[in-house]
Amino acid sequence: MQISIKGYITSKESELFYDCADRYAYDKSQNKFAISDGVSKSFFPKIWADILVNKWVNSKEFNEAQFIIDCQKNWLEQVTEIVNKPDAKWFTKNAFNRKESGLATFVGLRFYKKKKEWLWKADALGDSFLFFVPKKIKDFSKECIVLSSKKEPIVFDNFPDYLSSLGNNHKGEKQIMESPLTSGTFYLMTDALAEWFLKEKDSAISKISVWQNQKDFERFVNEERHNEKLGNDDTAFLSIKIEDDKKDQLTYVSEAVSNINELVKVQQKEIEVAEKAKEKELILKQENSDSEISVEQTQEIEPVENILSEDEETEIEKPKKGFFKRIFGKEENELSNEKEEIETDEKIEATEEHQEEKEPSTQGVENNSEIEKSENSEKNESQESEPNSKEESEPNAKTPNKPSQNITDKF
Amino acid sequence: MSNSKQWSSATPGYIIFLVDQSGSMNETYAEGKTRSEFTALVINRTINELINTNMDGEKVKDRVFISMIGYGGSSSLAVDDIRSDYLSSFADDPLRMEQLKKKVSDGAGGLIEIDEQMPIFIEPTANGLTPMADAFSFTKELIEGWLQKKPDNPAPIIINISDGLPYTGDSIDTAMNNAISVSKEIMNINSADGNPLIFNCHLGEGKTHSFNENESELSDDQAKFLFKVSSKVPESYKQAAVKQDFQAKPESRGFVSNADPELFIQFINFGSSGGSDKIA
Repeated sequence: MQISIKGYITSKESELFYDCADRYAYDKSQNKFAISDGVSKSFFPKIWADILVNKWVNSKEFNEAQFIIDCQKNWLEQVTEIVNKPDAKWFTKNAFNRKESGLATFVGLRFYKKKKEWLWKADALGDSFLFFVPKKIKDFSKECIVLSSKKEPIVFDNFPDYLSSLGNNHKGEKQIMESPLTSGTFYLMTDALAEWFLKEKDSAISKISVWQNQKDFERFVNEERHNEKLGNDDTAFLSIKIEDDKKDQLTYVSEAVSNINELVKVQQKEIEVAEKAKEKELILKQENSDSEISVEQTQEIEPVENILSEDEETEIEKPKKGFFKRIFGKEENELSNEKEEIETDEKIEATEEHQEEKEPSTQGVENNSEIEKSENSEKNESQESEPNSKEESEPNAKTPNKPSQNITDKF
Repeated sequence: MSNSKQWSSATPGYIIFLVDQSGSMNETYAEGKTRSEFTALVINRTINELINTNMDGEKVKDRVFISMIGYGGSSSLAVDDIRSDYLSSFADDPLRMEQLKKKVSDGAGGLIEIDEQMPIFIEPTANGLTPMADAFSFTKELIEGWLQKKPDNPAPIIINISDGLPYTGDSIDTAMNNAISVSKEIMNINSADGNPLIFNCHLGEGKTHSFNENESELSDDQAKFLFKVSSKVPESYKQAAVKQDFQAKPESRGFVSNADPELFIQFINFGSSGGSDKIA
């Protein structure tokens, strides 16, 4: 028997490979293949899915109970390490303390020999699927073998069966199938692609047959998502094609399999390069603005008293200012506003320098403390509960004091 | 089906919490807390839940943009952006953290006490009048801005939490009519995922009405007003309503009047369910 393997994987639209919680793995020496879909609402699902597929394909003597225990131990070790890092987030620690678990679907396939005959055996839990399409298929509906723990009629939802990374809180009952190994192709797929495959039937096979590499796969995924034929979900695909060469050995003749860790590395490098380029661009623009400001500074610097009194006068506007500051720098399309903001900052900075020159006069000290006060009040701007003087003096003013533009800029 | 678009990083949902911060929100409500304190507690918990549901362990996915808009509060007729951000920004930058003790399952049938950090995103405020129509007008601008930039995203959800009728110092009827008029404009905005939804939660004591189908079933002005400014509960939200023990009938409007704390929490869970039940 000759075996050819293809494997491709991608994340949800607008997410990174790093975010992808689907995983697959295979081991040629064990003739084992596995795919898993980490449940996105669970805790560290991609670590759980990764452990499940890799440990399963690498295990020689298989004891299911022990396999799960070993996987759970490994998951806990990895997660504990992350949680104990000094920069661990509060929500990570909370979920860990609450003993939240990782959840994942699983499909495992292995080939083995029994009395001179090669057999395949597979088990499946959740909405990841195994399909076997015989070489000379005539009737897809009758001849395509479908394995998953989904019950008929198959409805894809957000509540699949799964293996849990903690305790015995697994959901559903795994389905097992065993049969002689014959020419044809096994397809292991996570839910979005499996749903598409079940809808497309014969035409799915011809569409799949043209994928020669990861790029072909990604192109297909983008197109089918755009056409709303494929759900926006992490998507993984592993195919194992069997050709009977009348020999007793299993020979692996070709492998075109993407490695998720490599895809993550490449993408992160691309992001770093893009970020550096963006940083350079911003520095350049800032330098240009600075030189413009320095020319104007001598004319534009206003007395401290005036700036502060302006702040007091426009207390209603404070949230607006703070809001703008928070978004400043985040939006590329804010560059026109950027200059204005830099100018404002520059004014305060310049004013502070001006005060230093004046020191040790009391006026300078007072002004510094007022600037600090102003900054502090800006920090708590959105929670101000005291009525402001302007509003009190104009009780009938009915205009909202915060233009929607400040928010819509963040969309 | 309308209002059924999946919330994802590619097509985030938009929840707008409209928070009545008028002076009457200072009245005692439950658990020794005022209405404004309890409202802040529920919103903080809801955002915390959205963070928990939309994180993969160490990273929060931006599947929802949240605006908290207060009316009354900072001045008698103010409409304030308390905070508007994508979910991950809330997670990265809470106002402050509170330490709580919480009992959770020990996995062996018992309970253990654990320390939990509770993020605070909104502080209670109670001051001024109830300029609800202005808050709706502001919301309309936000929704139009959102749909202009995100035409293919889920239709926005507005959850209005108030303890009374709109009041701006003039006639209550005028204030009510203004609010009704703007709410209808919002509910008539078209998007690829259907119309924006307005769900209303009224805090108070007295006879409770919820998810009614006809205005004629309602006995008081407060409930009648809420009926008028609330959206019909779409099919896609019926399951979430049932999950929270609400009886969602074919023509039910998404509102509850005189909600006690339990009903209040159930209603907010229902209203924000897009961020937990419809995620990719």
